[in-house]
Amino acid sequence: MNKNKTFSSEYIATDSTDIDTNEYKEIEHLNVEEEFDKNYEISKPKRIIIRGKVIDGKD
Amino acid sequence: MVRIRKQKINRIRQGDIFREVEYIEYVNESKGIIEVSKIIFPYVIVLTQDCDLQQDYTLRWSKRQRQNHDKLLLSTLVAPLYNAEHIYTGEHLSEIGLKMQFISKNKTPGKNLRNNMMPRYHYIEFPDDVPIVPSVIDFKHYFSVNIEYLKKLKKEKFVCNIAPLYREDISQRFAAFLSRIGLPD
Repeated sequence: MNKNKTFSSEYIATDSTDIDTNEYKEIEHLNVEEEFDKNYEISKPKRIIIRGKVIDGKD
Repeated sequence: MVRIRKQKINRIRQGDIFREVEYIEYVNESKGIIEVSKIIFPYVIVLTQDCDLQQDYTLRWSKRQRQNHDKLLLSTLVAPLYNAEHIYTGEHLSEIGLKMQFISKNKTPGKNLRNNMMPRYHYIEFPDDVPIVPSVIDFKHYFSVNIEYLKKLKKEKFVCNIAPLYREDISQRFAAFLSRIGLPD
């Protein structure tokens, strides 16, 4: 595992279906290059900004 | 040094430590574009009273019908744990653009921090079998987390639980910090 990999600072969603706030699933992790270290070394908090299109109506 | 419990149970407990917990800063919708800003905290500790969490769990997940939802919680209070070494340098929030106060590690401020004599902070050293570096809870940075979201994290993101007595120590210090009275200079 590359411990130097971090979250990218910004991700622009290309498909509104990427964002699903109705479920409590983790709404967007596509921009995660690597998960946090598993060695319990405490890294620093990181900010992620997600953008996506809003679509009207329901599926 | 604190004592911890490693066993994972279904419900959220006071003193539970989770990793990679999201805090939603804001959700903004403008001209058909929705923007969500969130901060990923590497570690947080649950501060909500354990009896409240127990009652919420019973009400929320029990199949038995209840007459009302009086004991239901809307959210859970948590506070972040920061790497103590980052706290000393004031760089623990550098990746979200914030510079914090420098605390001299080898002088009185650092010793006061480690002796839990600074009301804002709670210093924790974990047992040798828990590979977490010395950490600091920052009571000023508490925030709320949706309880069902947190429960879903339990399977993958639960680290350990601070044992009773030690968690009460944290809870009492947190309550004291929140209820402090700011007097004019």
